[in-house]
Amino acid sequence: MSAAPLRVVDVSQGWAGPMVGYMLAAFGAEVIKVESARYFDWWRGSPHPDAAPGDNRYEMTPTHNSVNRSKLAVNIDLQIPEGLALLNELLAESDVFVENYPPRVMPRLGLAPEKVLADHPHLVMISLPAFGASGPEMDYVGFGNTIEAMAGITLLNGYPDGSPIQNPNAYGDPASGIMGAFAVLTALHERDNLNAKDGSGGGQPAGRHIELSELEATIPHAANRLLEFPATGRNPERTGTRHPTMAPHGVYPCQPIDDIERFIVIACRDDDDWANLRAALGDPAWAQDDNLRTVDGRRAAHDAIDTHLAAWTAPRSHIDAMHHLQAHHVPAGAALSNYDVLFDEHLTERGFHIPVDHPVMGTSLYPAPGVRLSKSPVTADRPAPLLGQHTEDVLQRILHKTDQQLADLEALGVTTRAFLREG
Amino acid sequence: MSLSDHPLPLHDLRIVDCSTGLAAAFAAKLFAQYGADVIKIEPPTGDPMRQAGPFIDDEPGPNRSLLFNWLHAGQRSVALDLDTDPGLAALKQLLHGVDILIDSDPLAPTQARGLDQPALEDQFPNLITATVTPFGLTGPYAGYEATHAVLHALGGWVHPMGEQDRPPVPSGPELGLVMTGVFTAFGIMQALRFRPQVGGQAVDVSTQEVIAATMIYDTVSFQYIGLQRQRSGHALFNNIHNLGLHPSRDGYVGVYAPLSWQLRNLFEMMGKPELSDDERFRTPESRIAFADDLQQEIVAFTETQDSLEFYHAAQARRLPFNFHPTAEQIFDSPHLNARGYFDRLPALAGQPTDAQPTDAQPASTIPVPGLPFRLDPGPLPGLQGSRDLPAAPSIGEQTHAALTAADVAPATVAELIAGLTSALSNGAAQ
Repeated sequence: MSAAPLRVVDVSQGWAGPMVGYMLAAFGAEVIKVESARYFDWWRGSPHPDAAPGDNRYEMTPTHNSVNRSKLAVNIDLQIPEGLALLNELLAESDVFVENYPPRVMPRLGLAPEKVLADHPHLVMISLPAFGASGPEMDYVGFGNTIEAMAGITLLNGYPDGSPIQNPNAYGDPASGIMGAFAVLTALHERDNLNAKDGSGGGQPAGRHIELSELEATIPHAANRLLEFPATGRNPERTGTRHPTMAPHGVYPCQPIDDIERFIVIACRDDDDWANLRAALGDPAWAQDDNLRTVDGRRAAHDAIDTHLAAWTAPRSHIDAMHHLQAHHVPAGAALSNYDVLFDEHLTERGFHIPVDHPVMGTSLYPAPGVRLSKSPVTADRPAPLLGQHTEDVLQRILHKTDQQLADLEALGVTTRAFLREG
Repeated sequence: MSLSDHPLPLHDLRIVDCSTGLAAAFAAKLFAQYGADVIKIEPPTGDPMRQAGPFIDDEPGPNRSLLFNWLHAGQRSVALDLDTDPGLAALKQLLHGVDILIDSDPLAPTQARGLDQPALEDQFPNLITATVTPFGLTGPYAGYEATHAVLHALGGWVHPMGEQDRPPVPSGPELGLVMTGVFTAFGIMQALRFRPQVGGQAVDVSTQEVIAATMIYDTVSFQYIGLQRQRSGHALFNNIHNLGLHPSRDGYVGVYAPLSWQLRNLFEMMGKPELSDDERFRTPESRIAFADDLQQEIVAFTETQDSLEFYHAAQARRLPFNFHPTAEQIFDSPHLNARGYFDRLPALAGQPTDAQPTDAQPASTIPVPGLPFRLDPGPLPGLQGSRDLPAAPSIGEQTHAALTAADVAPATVAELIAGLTSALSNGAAQ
């Protein structure tokens, strides 16, 4: 059971949907990204009026090239009947089907989940609509940033006396994408168990349609604050750089690098951390105040503590200050910029940054999937595919199309490689 | 325990969870939500998370943390002191027939206890171990101390977040920890897929790496275009004021109109369709040049608007705008409630299941976030929302039953339970 590598057909766009396929591809699945030349993944960039066939401008976004690594790209226009038929031929040979359009779109294409499952009862299909496929707001549109807000997260970010602050990463997207990858493996586990019981390895139709509302997959991420309401009847509030229970807890300035500010996070979870912080600072006179021995005392004096800590951090590099404090077992973390993350010694030593050679962008370091398996390493980290790059390969190898059939499909516009401008 | 007549998709999996902390607990919760049998191992004094709020009705107590109760609904609790030989031996006895061991300790103490995957492999060749730590099991930071904010900083999430004229801020909710939990659950499922070929293996999850992998590929952007991202305040990008967050009459709304048709729609909503023809706002380039003017026009409108009405009016025009609901508004959301999103926890968490409601403690339920994904009915029965969850266990509630079922000698069980009782009464006396 489950010895053969998974095959995944991925028609999704942006981040959340493509992340599902990427996480599976990173561990050996064959993921076929299906785009049309007219409506390709918007994370490649918008179609440009001057674009020509083979134009490189759709191969240059860091976001698309990161989350589509190790996939194959096939060019099929699903709005042409022959294109839809071709997709169904691929689905018949696949285990998983990923889409992330608003719920009205797939039925319009002839790919309503119940139709797909009727045609391919072995298939695990996952849909990731922003607000789900039922309920009064099912047709509302959203994306990572708005989902984050609707999940109650943004309102809790930022200073109490300022405006809410968005996360810097369109949080609803990765929250949904990784949950989708877990959901697919969960449904496959169930399918393969039932097949194993059946004995034939393929007898019992045990496919699934997974409906993952991005909003509903993201809300649990804020639960540690949102649960304050059902527990106590109070709404949680923004705490800025401070913490509901820890003190001191803050973000302090360090030496800039190349004129760009740097900061360090310092946190004391308890009185032991505070004692260690005092030791790390050389037990200065201000820190010897008996009132600061308890968390309540430190919270009352938080402004003054912040001033002293900032005076200590300001002349130091954020990395050196972190190592010094950590040597005294104080929770401290340099606020790394994207540049710093790329050169962080710990991530580097663990092999987190993986070099990948992309045909247009050359060799760059890309982040590892974030999970390591001791016996099943990430071996297939290939570059993101160029638009339509593997059309011939997939249609010949998997669907056994002849040269004549390929030419016919091209003539019908099913696999056109020209970039058309939509008015 | 199955929550419906049809077995849930992960009903055949058995998990022992020795971890502490939100990240690993969320992974175990996901498995329990989809049917796995989860035994939580706690020290006799209880998981420290039991002492963390929010507490039901603001009353602290080991069974009153709503966060703990939500994370551990339907799980069983076995209290063991893993620093003692009998406790450790009992744990290993419990591992027979178990698929997954979840832990959150660094490598050294785990190896000292013989609980690392290579040490367990002879006796339990199919056991998958998942270790959820701040920095992973190896590397120069492996022993460093961490909190949610420290990890956000080292994952590159704090530096670009905040107002330009104030220090950056960590996110309010402990997002990176929950994200780590989902990555862990994914990694375990991958290991299960490979198990027929390779047997059990170790899953090493670092929260720092999960956060860095979640940072919208900023490190790749740096290599492509050389840009170090900095704080851009409440706007999505510097100087593009029609992408971001604006004040409303009663809070804040999110406005995203980068495309011309979206902006035209917004101007119509504002009752100023003529702005579509205004030279300042006609092209993306001119909108950046006159960003402050555009901001003034938009804010002058949003400031007068009720957040919820603005949200519905914009969505009626297919504009991807949002408002910023409070926790109360989320739990009261007509949409989420129509979909049956919220599950219900018994308010008498930790009470014996046969406890009768009294005037002092009426039987009631507490709404909590429900299934993060649903399974449609099709060839197999569906799994939809709005379920009554079993309570979270009290400390060591199933110690006797679970150890007895695992063939631990009755005398040893009695000894362990006596130790648990005395530790609890010592704890109560403090």
